[in-house]
Amino acid sequence: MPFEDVLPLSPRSFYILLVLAEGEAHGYAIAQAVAAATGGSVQITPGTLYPIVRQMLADGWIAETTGTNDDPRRRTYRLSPRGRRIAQAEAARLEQAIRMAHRCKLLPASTPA
Amino acid sequence: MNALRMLFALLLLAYPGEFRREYRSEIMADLEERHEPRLLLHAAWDLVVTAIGMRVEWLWRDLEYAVRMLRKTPVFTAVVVGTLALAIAGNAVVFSILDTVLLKPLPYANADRLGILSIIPNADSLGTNRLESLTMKDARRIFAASHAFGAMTTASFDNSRMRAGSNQRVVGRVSVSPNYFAVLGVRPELGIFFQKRGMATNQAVISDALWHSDFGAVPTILGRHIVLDRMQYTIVGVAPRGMVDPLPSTLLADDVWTNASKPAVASAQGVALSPAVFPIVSLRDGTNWNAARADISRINQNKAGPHAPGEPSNTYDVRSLSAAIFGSARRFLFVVFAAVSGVVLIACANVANLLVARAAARDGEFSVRSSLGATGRAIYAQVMCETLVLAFCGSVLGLLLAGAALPAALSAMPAFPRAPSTTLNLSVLLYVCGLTVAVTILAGLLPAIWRAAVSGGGFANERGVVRGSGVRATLVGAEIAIACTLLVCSGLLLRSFVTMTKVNVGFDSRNLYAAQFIEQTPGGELRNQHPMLARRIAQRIREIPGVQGASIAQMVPFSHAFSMRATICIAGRPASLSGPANLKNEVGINAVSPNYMRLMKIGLPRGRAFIGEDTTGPPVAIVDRAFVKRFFPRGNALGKRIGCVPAHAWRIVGIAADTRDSLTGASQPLVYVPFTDQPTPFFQIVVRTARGASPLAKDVGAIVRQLDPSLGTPPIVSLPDSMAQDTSRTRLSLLLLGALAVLALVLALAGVYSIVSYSVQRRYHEIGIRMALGAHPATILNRIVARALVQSAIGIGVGIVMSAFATRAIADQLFQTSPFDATAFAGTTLLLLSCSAFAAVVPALRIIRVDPAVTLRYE
Repeated sequence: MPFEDVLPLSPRSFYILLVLAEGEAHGYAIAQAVAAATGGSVQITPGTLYPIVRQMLADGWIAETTGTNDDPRRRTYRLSPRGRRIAQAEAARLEQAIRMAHRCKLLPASTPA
Repeated sequence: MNALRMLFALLLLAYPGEFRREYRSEIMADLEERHEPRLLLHAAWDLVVTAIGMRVEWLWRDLEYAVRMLRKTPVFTAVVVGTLALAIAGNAVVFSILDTVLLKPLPYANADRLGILSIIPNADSLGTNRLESLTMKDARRIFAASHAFGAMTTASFDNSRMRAGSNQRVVGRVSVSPNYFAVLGVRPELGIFFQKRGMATNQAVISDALWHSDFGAVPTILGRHIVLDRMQYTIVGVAPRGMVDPLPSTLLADDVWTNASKPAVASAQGVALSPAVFPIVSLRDGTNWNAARADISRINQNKAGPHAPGEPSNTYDVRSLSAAIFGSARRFLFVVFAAVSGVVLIACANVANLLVARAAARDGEFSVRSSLGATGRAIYAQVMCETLVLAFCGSVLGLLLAGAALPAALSAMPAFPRAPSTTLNLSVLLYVCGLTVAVTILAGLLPAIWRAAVSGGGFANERGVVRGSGVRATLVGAEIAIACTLLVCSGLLLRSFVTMTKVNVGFDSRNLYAAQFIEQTPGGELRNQHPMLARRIAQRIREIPGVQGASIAQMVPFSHAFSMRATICIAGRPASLSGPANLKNEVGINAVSPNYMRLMKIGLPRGRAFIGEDTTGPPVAIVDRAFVKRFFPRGNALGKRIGCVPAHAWRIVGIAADTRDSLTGASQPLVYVPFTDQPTPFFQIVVRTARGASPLAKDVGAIVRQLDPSLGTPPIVSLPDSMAQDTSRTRLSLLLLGALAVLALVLALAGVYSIVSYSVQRRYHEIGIRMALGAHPATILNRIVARALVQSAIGIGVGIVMSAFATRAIADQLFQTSPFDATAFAGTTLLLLSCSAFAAVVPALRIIRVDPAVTLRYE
């Protein structure tokens, strides 16, 4: 499995990568998108968001874009190729686990893809 | 909303500055979008939690980095940690012992309002710090005439034989007046202390230790009877654990306190023996020690006051209990405190030195890091972390070392009453650790501060280095000065100690023991024993295999058992000079058997020894040289008549060499008389044998049981041991100061070594160029060593001046040694110069290995 040293991701990190996989976003937009996608069950507050963002920037998973913003205080982030590969690896890992959950009848049997 | 904003702005301060500066505005912008109170609360909580988490994580990372950096330089780390540990352990041990032996408050409720009355020693007795005891009569008179004292109690100390059931042993006994415990302010652990009511009965209070060892600590002990010297006592109470008696020279843990004292004794020669009584007084409410002293000097001046007409007017003195017990120890305590602080300073200076040198050597690393964008603060943080790790490791190691060293230190120490209960003192540990850690951190940050001050950027940082080396040289100079002072003081103490062990006591103490016999009737009277019994016991002891000789004497030097003193008068001299109870005419009287001088190996320069017929013939005496010097300054003593009562005068038939009863005091005039056939209340048998104390005690015990079972087992005193006790104070001082001085010397030499080693390392390049240009290595080596020696010499100079002041503080610890003893001063100078030369030459020798070609390519 590639990226063994960073996987599994924390749920929050994974959601952030997922949101950015859809396109560039600024911090608040990321938090809102995650809340909307999970029906409000996952709330990412600024206190948790920005330390993660800082670390991802340092590790080269995401990058700042030069895209303009309505609010000059905000910065916009995009997924880097490396971040994309990590998100893919995590998704594959989760998919494997889900398939197993189906086989073990933990989830209703799915129609074969 | 504004209030909320301010709250969040405050919360943001919890983050590390670097993160806060980067994301503050973004976070604030996010928060402004949120309006739901629940979400805001959640956000606030998250802020705090993640901020703390981030701080811990960053600190951990810095610490990890620090440990990694320190592991790269194991020698440096080991030296710093070792130095810190030594300083911490040494000081913790020394302070803990001092604290227990000297500083712990006396265990009495009103200790600071208690004092001891004494006679000011007359000019002839040189033991200036000794308290002369006075008689009960004197004490009562002073108390009655004074206004400052609210209560007085008395105590006298001796040994007694105790019988409880079938159990017999010798116990330390204190005969006290009934208000003794009340005046001291000590409460019983069990039962009561003496009652005024029922004084007719003999009551005893036993110590907690005795209660546990001999009575199984049963609460039913009260009301039981014990026999002390054939007198029956009822146990009425148990003293609290750790109860000690305020004996002026030291503190004693005794076993039994009784309300009835041994009655005064009259000896065979008609000499009155007065038991040594220590009157303890307590200040009346509303008075202080100044008033009490004024009161006493008024009594001293008022000749009509306490003494009856015709009696000599003694000069009395009152001292507070702590002054009487610890008086001269105070100053020494200060000396040890100064010495300990000196060693801490040296250790800290060494650590500072090493840290400064390391910082200078890491100039390159720091420059690279700053040019890569590390802020000054990050470099501070890193240096701080490294110093913290060093200080922490040093402290932990120091504590472990202290724990291990304390038992060793205690066993190496002469026996002091409260020493064995020493435990490591927590506050002392905290103090020493705190001090060293603070200095370490300061020293660690100093170079970083200099760097900030000369932040010219780039690699050049010559100013910082120059400043650092100046400070380093000063530090080493100071270390040498402190070490020098300590060495001089220890040297003086060593000389004193050696002088003391070489004191001629006038007899050969090797393998000498004294068995002590004293007997009381059930009524408390001293029972006179037939001298024949003493002779028979002595004869039987002589027959024990391995015993070289045994002799009877009433007083044996250093046995500290009985003291017989009498006022002497000289036939044909006017009475004014030989008035009663005049201290000037007081001499010691010793009744001995004929072979005593031969056994003790006491010289007899003139006249003859006693012979068997002296006990029945006309009374004769032998006097010692001190007696001749005082009473017959022109030396024509032989044949003269002396006596305590004119009717019974002894003719002087011999003059003996002086013997001493203490190593430091002057010899008192002594008169030997024959051990006669008249009954005597006490005697000692002095035995010379190589067999050792306990086999001798067993054999003597068996002999005594055979001859007179009622005598019990006599206590046996080893005279060499008893003499060693006299040197114990000096030995303790020597041990403490000596250990500190050696520590100081080693640390200071390490300082010299490191500064030379460092300067050689710094100048590798320069030395290479010089050698390439034709300089001889020896010339360069000479220059480096000479500079180190000049620094040491300056340090020694300052140290000698400091010593001149410091040695005065230990002057009263010195015995026949001047505080300005030239040998100690010169020896220290020589020792320090040669040691620092050695410490400088060893690292400088590396120059010889410098290869110009390699050095020039380096960099």
